[in-house]
Amino acid sequence: MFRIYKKYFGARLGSIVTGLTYAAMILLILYASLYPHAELKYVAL
Amino acid sequence: MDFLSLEWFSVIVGTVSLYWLAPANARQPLLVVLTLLFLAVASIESAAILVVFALATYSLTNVEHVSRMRAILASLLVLATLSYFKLRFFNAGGRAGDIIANVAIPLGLSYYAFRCLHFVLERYRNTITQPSMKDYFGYLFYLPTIVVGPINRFQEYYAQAAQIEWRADQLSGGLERILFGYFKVAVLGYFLINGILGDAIAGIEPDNEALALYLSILQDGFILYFLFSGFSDIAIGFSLLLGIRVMENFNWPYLQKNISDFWRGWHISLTSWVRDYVYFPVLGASRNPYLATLATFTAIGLWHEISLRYITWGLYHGIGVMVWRRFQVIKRKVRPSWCSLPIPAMVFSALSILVTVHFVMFGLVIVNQEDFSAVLYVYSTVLFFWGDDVSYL
Repeated sequence: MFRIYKKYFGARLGSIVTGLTYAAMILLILYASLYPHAELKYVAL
Repeated sequence: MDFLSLEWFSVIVGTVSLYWLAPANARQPLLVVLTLLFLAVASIESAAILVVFALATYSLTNVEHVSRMRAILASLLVLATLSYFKLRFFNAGGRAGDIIANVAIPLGLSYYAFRCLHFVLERYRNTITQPSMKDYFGYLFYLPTIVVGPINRFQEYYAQAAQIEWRADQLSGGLERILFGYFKVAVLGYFLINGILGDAIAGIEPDNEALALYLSILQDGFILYFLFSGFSDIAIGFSLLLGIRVMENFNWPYLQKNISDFWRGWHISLTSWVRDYVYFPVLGASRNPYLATLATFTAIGLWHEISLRYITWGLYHGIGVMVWRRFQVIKRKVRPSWCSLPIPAMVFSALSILVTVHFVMFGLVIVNQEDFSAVLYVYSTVLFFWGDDVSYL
């Protein structure tokens, strides 16, 4: 991801944007895991 | 164990820490022990069966040149074991994708069996030199891929396992991949598609059943993709943390413009496996690409579950690919030149993607419904708005 951001924003800003994206993704994962959901089947065959 | 759980995350962290703390020559055996422990905790029966299975195939192929008889015997052993457990699982009321701990089938057996079969066939072809038992067990009992694949190849594993070194870029790449995997599973799969879209579908008025069923079909298709590709991302990322890059399993399958390309981007490790060990051999023997295609997709169906509905689903895709190939021949003859202009080409590309996605998702109805009358009911309701009439069939 950093490689893409670096291309558009440069190294310094790119690393900040990458860090912010990771942080946002982790927060969303934590929020989503609190959302009540039915147990989904997974693909262990 | 739920892959979204803290337990699985702890398994990843614990394994990676122990792995890199161990001396270089002890890493592979350590990983085998940890994988066996993981399997034994999930099901002691699973671990025992898989060890016996590995010992049997190893001893059958542990000669300089594997004879045809040995290869057939080892392949039959693998296929018979896989079929036995698949049938036992199906007869116990299990369905492909159910959580395995509830029924008696070794964890990840389908992936494991195809790895064994690949090894046996490549040993027979002599493309793999006789490995040590440590390497064979290291390949089969490889924790990142044991439960949900990808069905990685021995050569790919062996070449990397011999020269593992700590690399910061692999570590960061692996962590990023695991994050993407969890994002797909938790946010896109569970939260958006299962949660938000599921709530929206539940709120649709009963007299608008066609819309509800149509959205449910889309929901099933997207959940399957986000969960499966998310778990594959976690497995690939986990493997990267251990210094080994395993093959990719997905390449934007729902953005492909035809069914053939879809299968090049969906569960790549399985499709490349059946291409190498079913499609090419049947094509070589019969010289009939249509027969080879049908055999390949029937094998894909049977790999998921030994049942009529999965055979039907396999044939549905096989026929789809055959029709598409035929259409390509006709298209070249009748295609008007204006189709190549930028705007019509863009419109046709978008339409092709939509048609392909709908073909795939409507195919999932065959395996997601209880019986064929339910499948007909869904199709007739969504496509023709006359589902009630089908109940009389």
